[in-house]
Amino acid sequence: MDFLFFISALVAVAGTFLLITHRHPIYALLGLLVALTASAGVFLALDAPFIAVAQILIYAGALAVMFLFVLMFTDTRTDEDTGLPKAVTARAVFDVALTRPARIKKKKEGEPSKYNPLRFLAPVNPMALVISLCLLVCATFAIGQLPDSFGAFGTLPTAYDGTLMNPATVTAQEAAANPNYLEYGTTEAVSRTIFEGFPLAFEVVSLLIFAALLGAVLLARRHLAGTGMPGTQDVGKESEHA
Amino acid sequence: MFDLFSAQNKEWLIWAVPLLPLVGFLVNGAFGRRLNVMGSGGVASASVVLSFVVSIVLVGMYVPDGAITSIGYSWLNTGGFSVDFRLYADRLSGLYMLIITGIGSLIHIYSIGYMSHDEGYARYFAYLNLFVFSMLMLVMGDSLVTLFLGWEGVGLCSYLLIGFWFKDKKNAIAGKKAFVANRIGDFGFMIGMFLIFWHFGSLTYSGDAGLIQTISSNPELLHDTTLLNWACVCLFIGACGKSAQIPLYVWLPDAMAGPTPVSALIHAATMVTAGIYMCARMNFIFVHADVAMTIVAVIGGVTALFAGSIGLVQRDIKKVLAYSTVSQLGFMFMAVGLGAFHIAVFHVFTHAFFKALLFLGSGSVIHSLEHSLGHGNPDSQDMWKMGGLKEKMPITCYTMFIGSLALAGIPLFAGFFSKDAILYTAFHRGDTLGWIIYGLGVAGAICTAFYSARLMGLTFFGKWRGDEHAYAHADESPRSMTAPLVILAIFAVGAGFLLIPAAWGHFTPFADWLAPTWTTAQAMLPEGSHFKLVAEHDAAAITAEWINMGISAAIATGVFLFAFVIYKNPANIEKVKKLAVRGEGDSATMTPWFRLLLNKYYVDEIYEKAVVGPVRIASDVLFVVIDVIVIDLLFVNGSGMLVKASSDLGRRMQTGFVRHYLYAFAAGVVFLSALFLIIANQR
Amino acid sequence: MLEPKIVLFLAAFLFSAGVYGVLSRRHLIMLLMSLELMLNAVNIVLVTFSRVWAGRWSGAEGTGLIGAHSGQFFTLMVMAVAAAEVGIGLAIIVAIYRRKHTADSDASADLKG
Repeated sequence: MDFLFFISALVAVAGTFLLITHRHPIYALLGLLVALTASAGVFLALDAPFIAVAQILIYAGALAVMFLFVLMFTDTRTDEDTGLPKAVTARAVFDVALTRPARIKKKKEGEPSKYNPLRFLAPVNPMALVISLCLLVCATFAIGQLPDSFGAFGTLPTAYDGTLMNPATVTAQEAAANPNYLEYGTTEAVSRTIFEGFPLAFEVVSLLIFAALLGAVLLARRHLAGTGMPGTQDVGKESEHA
Repeated sequence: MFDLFSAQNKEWLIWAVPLLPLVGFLVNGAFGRRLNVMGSGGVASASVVLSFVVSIVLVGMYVPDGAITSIGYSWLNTGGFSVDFRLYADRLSGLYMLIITGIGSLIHIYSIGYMSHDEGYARYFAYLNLFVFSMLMLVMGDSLVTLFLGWEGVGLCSYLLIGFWFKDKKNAIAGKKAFVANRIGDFGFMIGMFLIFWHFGSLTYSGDAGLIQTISSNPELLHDTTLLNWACVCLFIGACGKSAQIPLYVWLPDAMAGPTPVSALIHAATMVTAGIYMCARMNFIFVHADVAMTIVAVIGGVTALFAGSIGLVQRDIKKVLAYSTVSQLGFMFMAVGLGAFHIAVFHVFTHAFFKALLFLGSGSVIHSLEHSLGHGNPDSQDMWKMGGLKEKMPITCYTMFIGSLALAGIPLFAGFFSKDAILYTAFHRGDTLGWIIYGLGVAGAICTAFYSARLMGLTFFGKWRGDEHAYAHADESPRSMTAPLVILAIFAVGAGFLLIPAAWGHFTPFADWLAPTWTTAQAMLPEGSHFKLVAEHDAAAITAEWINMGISAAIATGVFLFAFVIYKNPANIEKVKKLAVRGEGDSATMTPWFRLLLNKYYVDEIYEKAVVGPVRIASDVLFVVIDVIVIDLLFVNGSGMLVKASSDLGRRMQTGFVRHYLYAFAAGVVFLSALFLIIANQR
Repeated sequence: MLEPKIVLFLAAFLFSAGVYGVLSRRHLIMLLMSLELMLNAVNIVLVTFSRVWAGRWSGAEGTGLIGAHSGQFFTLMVMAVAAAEVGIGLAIIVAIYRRKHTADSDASADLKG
């Protein structure tokens, strides 16, 4: 299990780097996908198989596809970036780091140099870097302050009694034989939690998703004159800065 | 029905008296414009008539057994100062209630006819109802504070009704003048109130903490005569404003700009007598303030003569009556100053009838003439352009004649008894002050008789001197207007018989009715005081009474006849013109005394130069320095510029870029989490 | 040996990285993606705490089946809310793109003072 966690964590960190360093949103999306899928591995390592599956289904499946769609609708460029990235090679890093900086600096701002072999990377934003590093330091410090009881995960009960809803003192064989005994983190255990513990919250959240669905439709639809249906007005390019 | 008026209900019924006119005001104010003049006036009149009926029941059945008080709610309660909103109906208030609602009813009914052609009738009746409500609050409130509430209320209604036809700027200015003059008086009144509260610790009349009880149980409070004098003088300044005495009388003649029934109700019968009511109410303090009483008497006497003499030469029929009112109010204050409060109130009572009658009669004349001359035409009020109206308007003529006789003080008419009683009080006093007052009073009485006769002679007798067309169309007023005249005329004859002097048999129900009002003052009257608070049957003074009565009767009758003969004969009028005016109103040719009177002793001009001018200059300076420079430039624009400058700085922070807001947000999160960690670790 | 603190540190790192992404990028879709990363970090924390709680069974109230899984339930809630948020967010981006013809957040600077 530890092995699964460390591998997943490593992959997640790598994906995260891909996400925050790459200039082009498609590559960043790829990084996000990697990080989220790796997180599913982390959940698995934490004895939460249902959550892991849900993670892959919702994030990696639905959300990533939605992002991809919207990226197709919109212009991926911002003022800061042009062109498509090339692979990071040792040569490129070397060039940027040692031989070309003077030449790159000469170029006007906002117009990335064609001589910059690392132009596919987003420029570093020092302000954002400082703030997020401070946050990381704070969070780390806070984690360090956690009481000793957070030093280890402890042992899970073999199974939960599905009637009493309490941990049961049974052997693994008995638990597997009797459907009344539930193992931690399984689909059945989570669904019992949802429908016996928090049914109202579940219903409310379904209502929220429904409202979000309607709202998204309303916001994203194009206003068509004469239909009487609400929607967003399509503004011509000439009035862009009006 | 009779259960309603049972004794258990008297404390509730008393509220109906002021609240009925208030309901009338609300109805007229809210829906009056949807009603026609009959509906609007009907509602207004009905509310006051009902109020009158309730007043009669209360005053007739319950007030003689003792004052009625009824607490509404605790109105002000600040530290040591608390005022309950409480009604108080004793014999004095009861009398005033009857005068206000009774004459008020007649005038409301009269107004239906008078205002029938005016578009603003709903507004008019609303104001009139509001006035009756305020006036009732003035006389029925149980403290000087409630009195002051009514005092301001009637002032407001007076202002609104003087400026009723506000489209004519001169009327609006007249209203403003009344308001300002009253405000000066109110200032004095409030100071007086503060002094009384400071000294006695109360402003309420009745009850355990009331003034009467305080004075009865702590007589030593009355030894501080300096303070009492100041307090009474200050209260009298307030009375000067409201009751039009020198030096604040100037607003009342101008107040004739309002509709004539208003002049009858507010500026003759009721509101202007509020000052006398207030002095009579505070009698237990006034009797201990000798200096203040002397001032009251002298001011009253001087006003009586001063205003009466101006009335001699006025051409405007309403102006004559206005100055006559000022003069008669002077007589009332003479009586107050001489300590004869019951006689002052008696003169208020009789004056209310005959002066309301005279105003309503003049209103009838004006109403008739305005038909052909057009509304607001000054000719409709100019006596020089009238004459011979007896033929056209007999009822108006005869009722007004009765009113004039009463005003002049012809024996057996109401004014004779009250005025004679005042003069006798001065005559009988026997010291220098008494003789001075008596002299002023007699001179005032001569003027009164003269202008009463002149008014009748010029208006109703002799030859018509104005526009022929107008005379041809002049006609008697409708019955709703003449009926109140007849009723008032009956009272103008009969009201006087309620206080018959000792010489004629000493029949004094009026004085006996009011006697309990002065019991406190009477009981604590200082040794050797000149004041006679109740009507005494003094057998030794019968001769003096006969002498005084003879003098005043002779003066009144003689002067009245003399003036009447002059002014009813066209030939004699020409002689007067030659003698005094010497030309057609050209001021250069007039005799000096005539010019002086015609210009009302130049009082308005003196005030203009001495008071208004400096105030105006000071206002201009203040306007430039305080308003324009300090407030407008420094405060208003300055604060605006300060905000603009500082927001210019703050505006730069608002770049509109989402990431900048995010920076701030995230930095805030970092800062707070760091702060919490540090705090948590320090514990 | 895997410790909760290590997992939590991973979450902290992912969260900070998300913050960096949100703060440094101008493309609105990049903003949303980084936001998803942050939410994911939160999910990891929740699941970790849920697991820690389940491993500390003491028989006390709230440590039964529902108590032990409530952290996971919370995670599901966060996922649902995140899905709703992304749906709305992307719709808004599309609407903005229609008006501005760019998804650059600096183009929507209408709040400028």
